[in-house]
Amino acid sequence: MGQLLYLLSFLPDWFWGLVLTVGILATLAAWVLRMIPFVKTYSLPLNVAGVLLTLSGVYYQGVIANEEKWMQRIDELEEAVKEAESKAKETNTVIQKEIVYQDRVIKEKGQKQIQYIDRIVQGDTIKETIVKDMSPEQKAAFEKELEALKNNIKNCPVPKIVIDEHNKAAVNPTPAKGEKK
Amino acid sequence: MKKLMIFTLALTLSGCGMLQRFAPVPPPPFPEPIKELTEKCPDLKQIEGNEVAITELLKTIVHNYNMYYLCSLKNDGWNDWYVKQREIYESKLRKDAKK
Repeated sequence: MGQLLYLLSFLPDWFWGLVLTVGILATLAAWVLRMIPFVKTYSLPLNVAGVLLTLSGVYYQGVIANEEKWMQRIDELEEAVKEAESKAKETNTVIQKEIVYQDRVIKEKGQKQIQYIDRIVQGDTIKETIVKDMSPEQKAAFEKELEALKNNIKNCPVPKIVIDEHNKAAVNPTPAKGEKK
Repeated sequence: MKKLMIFTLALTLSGCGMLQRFAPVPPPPFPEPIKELTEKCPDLKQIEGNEVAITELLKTIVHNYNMYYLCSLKNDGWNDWYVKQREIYESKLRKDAKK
């Protein structure tokens, strides 16, 4: 049945319009022929053929209308898919820009902080930059702290146990797939 | 007989339109992930050497905090990406499919 309908679908639309018209005309002709005495015997087969043609004509008009409706629906969905695709790309670009920007901000902040620590350790440029806007009391307190830090760096290395514990904590306990535990 | 004829005509006019059908539209391709988000988070930095100054320890800690924030950015980025892509999918395609 499916194959038959598939083959019939290759017929042009106007053909089914013609079938419907012929079917209606045949039914009307059968009705007229019934009133004529000598030819009324032909009215029954003509009526049957007319009804069958009308039914198949009407059915295929429905098929054509239905097909048109679905083709329109497919077009709408294809349009929606295209729109979704382009919007997804646009969103990706926006998120990517934001990620790249924030990534740079975080990296810069980290670098600045490490540079600041280096500068404190070096101590030479501190006076011109960090201390310049401080009040004399703040300046004295800062220099005292700096002196304590220098003493600490010189005389108190971090105990090995602290380093070991730090390193242990820095190791990922759940290595990524494929990596050896 | 007339009623039967009208019923049959109405039935045939539907041309199988009453049956549920699915539009043969391929689903949209899965959106490409953002390259920056697919990069693996690096391992945390460890301290090398036995005699380490406190400032070296501090620098390593700062570096590791920084790595946490970079990795957290990726995680937030993935969440953001998922929420927005899902929103697009649901608003554009589900709505159309329900029509």
